[in-house]
Amino acid sequence: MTLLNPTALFFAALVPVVVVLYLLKVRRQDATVSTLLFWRRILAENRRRALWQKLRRPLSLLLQLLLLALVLFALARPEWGAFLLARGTATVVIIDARARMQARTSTGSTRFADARQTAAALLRRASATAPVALLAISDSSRVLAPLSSDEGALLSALDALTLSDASSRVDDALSLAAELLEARPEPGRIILVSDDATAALPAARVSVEHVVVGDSQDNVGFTRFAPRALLNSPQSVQLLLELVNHGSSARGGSIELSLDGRVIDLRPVELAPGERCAESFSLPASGTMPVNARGWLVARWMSAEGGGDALSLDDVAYGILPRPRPLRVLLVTGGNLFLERALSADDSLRAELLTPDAYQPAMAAAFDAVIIDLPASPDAATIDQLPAGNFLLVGHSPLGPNAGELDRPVVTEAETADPLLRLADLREVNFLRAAQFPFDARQPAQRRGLWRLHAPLRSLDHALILAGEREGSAPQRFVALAFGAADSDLPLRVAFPLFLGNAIRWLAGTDALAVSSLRAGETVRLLDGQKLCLDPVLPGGAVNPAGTRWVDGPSSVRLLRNGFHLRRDAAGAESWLAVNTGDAATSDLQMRSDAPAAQVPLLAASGASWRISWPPWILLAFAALGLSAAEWILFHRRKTE
Amino acid sequence: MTALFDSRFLARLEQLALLARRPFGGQQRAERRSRRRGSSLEFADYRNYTPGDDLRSLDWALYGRLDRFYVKLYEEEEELPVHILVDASASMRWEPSGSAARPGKFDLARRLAAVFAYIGLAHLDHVHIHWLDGDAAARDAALDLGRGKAQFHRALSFLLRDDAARGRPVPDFSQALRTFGNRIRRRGLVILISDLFDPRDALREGLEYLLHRGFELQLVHVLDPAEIDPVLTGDLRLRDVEGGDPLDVTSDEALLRTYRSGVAAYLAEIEALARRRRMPYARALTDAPFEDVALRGLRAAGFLR
Repeated sequence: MTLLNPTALFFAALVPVVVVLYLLKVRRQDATVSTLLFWRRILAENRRRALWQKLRRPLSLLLQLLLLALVLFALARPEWGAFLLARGTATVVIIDARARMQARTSTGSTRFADARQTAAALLRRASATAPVALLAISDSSRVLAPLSSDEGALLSALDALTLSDASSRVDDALSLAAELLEARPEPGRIILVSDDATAALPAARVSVEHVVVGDSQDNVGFTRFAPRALLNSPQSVQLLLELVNHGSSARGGSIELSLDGRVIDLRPVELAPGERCAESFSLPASGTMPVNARGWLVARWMSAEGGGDALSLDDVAYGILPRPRPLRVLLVTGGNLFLERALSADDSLRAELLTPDAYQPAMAAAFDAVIIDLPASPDAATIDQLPAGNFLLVGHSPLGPNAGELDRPVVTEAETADPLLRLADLREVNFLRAAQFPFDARQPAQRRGLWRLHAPLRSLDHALILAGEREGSAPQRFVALAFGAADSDLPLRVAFPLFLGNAIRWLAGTDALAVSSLRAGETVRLLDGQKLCLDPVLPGGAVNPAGTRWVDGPSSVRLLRNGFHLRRDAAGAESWLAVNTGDAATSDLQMRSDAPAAQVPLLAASGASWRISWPPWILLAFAALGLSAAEWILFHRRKTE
Repeated sequence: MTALFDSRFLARLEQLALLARRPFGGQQRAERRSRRRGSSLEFADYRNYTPGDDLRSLDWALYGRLDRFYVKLYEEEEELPVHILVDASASMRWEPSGSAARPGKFDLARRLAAVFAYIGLAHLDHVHIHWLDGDAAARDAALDLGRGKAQFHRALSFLLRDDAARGRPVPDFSQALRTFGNRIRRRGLVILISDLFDPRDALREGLEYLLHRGFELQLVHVLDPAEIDPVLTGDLRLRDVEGGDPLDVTSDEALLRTYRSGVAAYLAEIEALARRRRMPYARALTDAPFEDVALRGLRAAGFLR
């Protein structure tokens, strides 16, 4: 035990004062009675009371001295354990608040609760000669309180710290702490309060000391949960999830999958120690769901033994059933059977056909994509005059008049990773002819003003497919095909509807793999007019948009809590975003056996949680209060004077 | 004090009479039986005729049966000497704090003395009122009321007038009773109205002396509830109103329990003495309704009939 304020013991000089006060004669209250006959009788008969009378004064004095001793000891601020911040040192206390710290320990508390108690005990040791800073590892590493001797401010910062469902690297926090200390002249030390006893800071002059909380525990958790629409049939959805057993023994149980609260599948699972189990589920077509359905997919791990495991966070995974909106496509053509059939074959497209005479450029803004299948004309709009809308141009480009015609070009380069060519292999397409765009494909990515141009399919220095995207406040896209539908055998290939679908979705700004789920701690970019609710809704919980925190776009925001987050686009249409921890390192609650580099002596005392949770001076103050009450009762029961 | 003695109350008192266990010879004829033979209507005995006897007292019917002369004797009815002895010591003047709502012990004693005096006067008893206190002059200042209700106003004025003169300690209660017994020549009924607190704890001696002197004793024990169940707690310096050295006491609930049991034992001791010596004994508490004490309590204890 260490006294943080030993100067308070100087108040022991009050002891003689108390003794002197007790040596003073007690002033008795005068009372006149009709006779002392009975009083004399009972006092004469009850001789043993006389002895007690003699003892009452020493007992009262003893109680008062004990009371004074307790108060003095409380003022001296004793602390359990031998740990003490050395004078002239700066200390950074790092508390781990990552998702894995939500794990319950064998004592019933959580790792984070133990870490908070331990950190509080460390922060209370802050003094003018030994300042302390507080850092937290959550979704990222951040300074909660700079180096300070103010115990109250440090503890307030610690109290305000909440757990997140996200995870991040301990090394970043250690680096941040080291930078903080290296700027100080005095020697520094880093104390990491975490369940990770292995983190170290290599090649730094600041050593890392550990206070390890928690104990090694088995855990089974979801590490992946990915529902997605099939590329060849966006209305069909497939769910892939991964379950990992981080325990040392085999675990059995089942995965319960529910959609909007209704259980749709229950699959038994047996997991060997350390085994990863990937399961896929075919989900009902999203088109069959009611219009107002949320599309909440929830997977739960239910152990055969019953009850939850150490970390309940990863026993549930959330996802959103993809329900792509049908894209509106306008086909302006004098007649192209290939295009018409390809568009009608795609369920995710809603195509309208228009003759060139009926087409007005102003119509384009009302469609997700407009396909212009017209012969090249000299007065066609250039990219600077392109009307609002996204265009798929066949046989010409908005870069200007074609420079000529290519005879039976061959594909020399194809960027298969490009969204336009996803799963659509055009490298073996035979071309009869192709337009020669005014674009030098030897530099496949070019900028022209606000436009970013690239050619994912090229024939030597010519672009067979040219894509352009304008950045800024009015984003716009175009895809220009140098070949017509009848100028190649592409319409006869499987790749044709795939490519056409890719092109239309890229033009519409949607992706078949549109993000509807995130890991906790990942950043979401909100565009102008979009809103996102920071507070998640969990299955069974009520949706109360008025009582939650919203973030307006344009901005970037990190979502730190698992669950379903409501978002609204500029038109007010609502959709859900699912957030999961989905981190194998978080689910692995096994403690590393290799010893840390340095262990803070406080570790020995941290096991007794009740002592750490209450500062000793508070316990002493309570004891003094209780003693004072006891003395009061004894006084009024005439046991003391 | 006179407010209690309205006509209705006095009318109820007239229906009562002081109860003496044995007859006492008075100086005048009255309503009390005596051992003397007299001229009342109560037949007492026969005796042989002797010349000179009043012929009107011959029993002629007996002469007709026995042919001998017998004289009928009748009981003599005389007055009863009643001595009302009121304790006027300092302890009787003591009133606990916060007891303004009830009369003091001395007030109650005087009221009871007035009741006894009225009843005695109404039945032609010879009533005396004496003070019992430590003041020799006051002890001598007894009032001989004589007989008849017409003397009642003298009793009231005596009890009230001497109020201011009382209150001296009675250092020796037994000796005071002895002095009283020696001073009174006519034996009779002695009604002692007192708190019976004897600083020397020699009450029994005084009472025995009066009994030995031939007085018939009746005890009215006047007490305040605060004397039986005090609420004194804390560090106290107790002073006896009669004087003497103070007593330092640290009183708590346990000590008060002991006190209460001591008082109860003391009262039981007095009651046992009264029962053994056939002395009517009544306890009059100052917080009890006066009519209950005067009419029901005293009758139940054998003071009145």
